[in-house]
Amino acid sequence: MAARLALALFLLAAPGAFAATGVAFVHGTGQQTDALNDYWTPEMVNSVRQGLPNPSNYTVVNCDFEQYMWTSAAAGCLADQLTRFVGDRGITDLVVITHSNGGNVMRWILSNPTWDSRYPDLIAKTRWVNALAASSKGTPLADAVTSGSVFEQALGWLLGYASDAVKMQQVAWMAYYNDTWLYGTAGRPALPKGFWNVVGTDVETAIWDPDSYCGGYGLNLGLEITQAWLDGCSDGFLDCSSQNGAGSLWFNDTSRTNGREPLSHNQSRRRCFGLDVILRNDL
Amino acid sequence: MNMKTTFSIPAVAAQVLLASSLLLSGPVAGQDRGQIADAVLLPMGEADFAPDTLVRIDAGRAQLPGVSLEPVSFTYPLPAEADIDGPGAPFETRSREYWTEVGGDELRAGVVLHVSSPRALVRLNPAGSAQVAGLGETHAISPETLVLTVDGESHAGGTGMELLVDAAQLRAAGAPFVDGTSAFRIRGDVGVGPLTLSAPELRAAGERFVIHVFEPESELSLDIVAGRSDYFHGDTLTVTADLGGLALRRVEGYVVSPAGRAWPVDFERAAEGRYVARLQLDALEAPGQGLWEVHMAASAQMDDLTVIRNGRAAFACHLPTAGLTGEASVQRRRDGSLGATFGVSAASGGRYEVRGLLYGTDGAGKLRPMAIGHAAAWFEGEGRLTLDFDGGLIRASGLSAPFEIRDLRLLDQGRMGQLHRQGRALVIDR
Repeated sequence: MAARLALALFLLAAPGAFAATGVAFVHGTGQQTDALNDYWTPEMVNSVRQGLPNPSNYTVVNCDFEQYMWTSAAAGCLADQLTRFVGDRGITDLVVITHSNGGNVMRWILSNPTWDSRYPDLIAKTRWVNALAASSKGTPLADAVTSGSVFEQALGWLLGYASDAVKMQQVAWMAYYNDTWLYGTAGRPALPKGFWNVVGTDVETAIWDPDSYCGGYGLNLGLEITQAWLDGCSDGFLDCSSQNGAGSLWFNDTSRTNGREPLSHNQSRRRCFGLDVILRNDL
Repeated sequence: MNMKTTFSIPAVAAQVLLASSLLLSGPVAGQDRGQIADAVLLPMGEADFAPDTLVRIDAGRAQLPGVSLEPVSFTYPLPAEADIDGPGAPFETRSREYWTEVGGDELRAGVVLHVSSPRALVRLNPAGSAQVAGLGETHAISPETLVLTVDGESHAGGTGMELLVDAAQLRAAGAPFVDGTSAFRIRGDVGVGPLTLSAPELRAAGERFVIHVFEPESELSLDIVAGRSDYFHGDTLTVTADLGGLALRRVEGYVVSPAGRAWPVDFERAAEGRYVARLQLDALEAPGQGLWEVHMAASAQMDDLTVIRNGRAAFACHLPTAGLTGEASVQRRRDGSLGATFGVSAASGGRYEVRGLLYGTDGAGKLRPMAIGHAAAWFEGEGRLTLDFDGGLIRASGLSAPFEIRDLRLLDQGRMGQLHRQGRALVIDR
């Protein structure tokens, strides 16, 4: 707590004491056109942004994260929308909240500052990234999803057996990209800004437990079997080691959530167990 | 729980000061020239790589729409205590799964699955024309309609299984399995060996289905690794595979490029039960579409159990569109800043980036990380890229000469190419 208090005092004492703080919500894999309603839910976003001095200083990003992270549809689109947001709202202190593969796309921008002339300014204005369930080291589920399409190689990939984003999140692929184009993993240079991980450690699907219904019971049910592809510690989609594979651990879910409830992969983007309040208080 | 630190604050200051300090094909702009010394890169180390010859691609800019043309540079400090390794070893994949494609009529009658360890996960999905027609969900098979037969004993109606998940439940989870995928886990008391899976209620007898068998508790994995993480066009790929040292009864494989071109490879028995395949790589195709993969299918006999595995490993294959010339110069300016300029020879037009780590010496004489620099620009032919490190950043680090540039890399951003990597690149005495 002392370090965060020191930062608050620093900000108050610094010339930028009147910084305009904003928050951006960055979705995970998928092509979103209404991520507010379809991905995050208004309850989550509206709760978090109440932590801003000006609660209007928020944006919900909508991009095509079915593409490779480096493409104009992914990182380019994210840079577009963030640049427009900080420009239109005069944001000088940007907190970026990412979920799942959204963390990889944001990490691409942080790790490749010369890729695009917009990136340096975005990095400069970013205070830090709060990475919810980031797929920093990929997931064996992406390997499983991609498997089997080999029998219909030409046809299967065209049919979307696995999007480029899913192929990219195979464990071996992320190992390569982490070792070449991305920073922040063990043994690699640090990222230019903090990348703070919130790690989901388990999935609860007891039908008698109302906590299992937060975020949608049906969403959790499938995650119970997907855990079988994963380590003992996972959120049903990602191993804990992947979620904390780049940057720094902020907290494991049960250490901070109400009732010490775990956050499944779908719950870590919803207003479940006080996550929204934790994120709100971080602004 | 960790406390968030203030490390990011000085990084902001450093990058704002340095964001416009690119030198490309010309002298240093500004008044403060200080001292400029010519230099040459250190000899390449064992783990370093660079292309022997360059490839010219005439399409150039037209082939890379959307690639930025503006020169950009960026530098930020690194903590001196950072533990930065050299390049990682090639990633070894370990597969405990296999898959097979069957016809609907076969599945209705019964398909033999070879299961070598308890509690295997089975996943089924419609394939072929059903997927083409978008009918994956229509032809999905509910696990409760399946029958498992082991040693003449049949388990129907979901018995013999656990964690039954139909296609709708799996889709709701958000896992991007192909449409119509359902799954279940074989109960531990069902046993191992050849099991027969049948779908007596299956109506889509003319359709095709893919069945995946994943054995997370198996001690036998098919381990596959490429000889290197990075290859150049024309290099010979080496792939090594090992299934617990077992002699393989069946082994086949192929290499597939990012554009989907495929080449069969032959695996030959090598030392210590390993199998090795080689292939000369042809990377002349549209750029920037991900990694290459080698796919492999293998089976072996272990006592009275048949073990089947499919696996794959990933690697990169780059077109050598540019290289570092080996010439460098160092600028030490009166304001304490340091520039390291590297000659680049680009046979093909592209956006090239040089990035490298600046190390400095601490009071005990030990080299420690100080900062990381990046500089990129679009060009073709001979050029130079400069990593510029601000004097304030150097002073704030508490480190001093001698300096070194380490982990020097040349990247082709538009084609996602890593063209040069050198652990120790340049020594700067003062």
